[in-house]
Amino acid sequence: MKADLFMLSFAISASFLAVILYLIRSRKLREQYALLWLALSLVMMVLSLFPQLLDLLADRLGVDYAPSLLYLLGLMSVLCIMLHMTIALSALTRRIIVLTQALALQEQRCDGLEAQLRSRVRQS
Amino acid sequence: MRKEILIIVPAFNEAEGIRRVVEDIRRQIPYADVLVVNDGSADATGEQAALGGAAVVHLSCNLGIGGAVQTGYQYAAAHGYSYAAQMDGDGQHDPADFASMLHTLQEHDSDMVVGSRFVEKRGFQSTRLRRLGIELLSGLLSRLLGRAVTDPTSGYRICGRRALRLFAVDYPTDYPEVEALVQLDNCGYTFREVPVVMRERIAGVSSISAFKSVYYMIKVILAVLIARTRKTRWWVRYES
Repeated sequence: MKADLFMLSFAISASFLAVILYLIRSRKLREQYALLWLALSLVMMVLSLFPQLLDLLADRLGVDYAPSLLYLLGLMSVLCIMLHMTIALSALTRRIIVLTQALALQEQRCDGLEAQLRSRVRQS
Repeated sequence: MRKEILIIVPAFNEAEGIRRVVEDIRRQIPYADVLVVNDGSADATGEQAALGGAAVVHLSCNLGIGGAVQTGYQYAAAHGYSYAAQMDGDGQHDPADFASMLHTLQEHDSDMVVGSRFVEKRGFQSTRLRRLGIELLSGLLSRLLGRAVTDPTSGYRICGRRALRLFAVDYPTDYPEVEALVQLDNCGYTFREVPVVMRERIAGVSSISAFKSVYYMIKVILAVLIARTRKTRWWVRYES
């Protein structure tokens, strides 16, 4: 009965990994953002195959109740991934600002040149 | 044909008043070019500004005051202006004060001059709550920079070539005025304050609502404190 539960959680983490890989393959997820997700799914797979590892780790760290260590690890990984995403978002915001400014200045220059050209054509 | 001075007017949904503001500036400061940065307005701000005789740059989406003003500085740097000033698009800043600001900049060889409404305490003094916020910020800034700063949030400024080049490359976003002063000081550049008289806005509503002001204070204080820690950069230490 117990082994089945671990198999189930292994199946879930394996399919999670498969989904991530599929997303990368279909270019819906960039590798640079996927690395953390990949690492997380690998850890999940290892832990579901060898749950003793968790007990061992909990014992070493002096955690009485092993599943709470699992919660801690899960929460930490999610925090890391979220931080990573906010950093990526900030970088994107910065790039959008730079692009918008460059586009606006180029447009203005273009309009000016066009007006100059038109008046020159009219003169000749 | 091109003049020495560029006046940057950031404008977001100011179609009602912008034409009058631009015409006012051009009449009173005929020795400067006017550039309106239309910050992704939904109304006819850009067209109205062009009718008033300003050069107009259209940002395709709203970047906020920082991004808009920086676009102006980039324009000034690219076109080789010696001075770039910024003035709000709502008519709060009186072009009549411009000459004394320019004069101070040239006389003291400062990098920037800020128009302060609190040096002589004349004209529109803002609401009481907002004044409290400004006092808090000016206290903080005076302590951080070790000198008196009376009106750190004023957006009425004129920059020399060094400062405008700095801002073209690096300018804070969101609510940039206070942070820009710290940035300037970090680089060892100087700025002075000159008394000006501000008016109440001609039309439209202020971009800072009561609800946003809490966010404003928190964001600005945090940004200023963090900006101050940037001072010890190698390129600052090795300068001059």
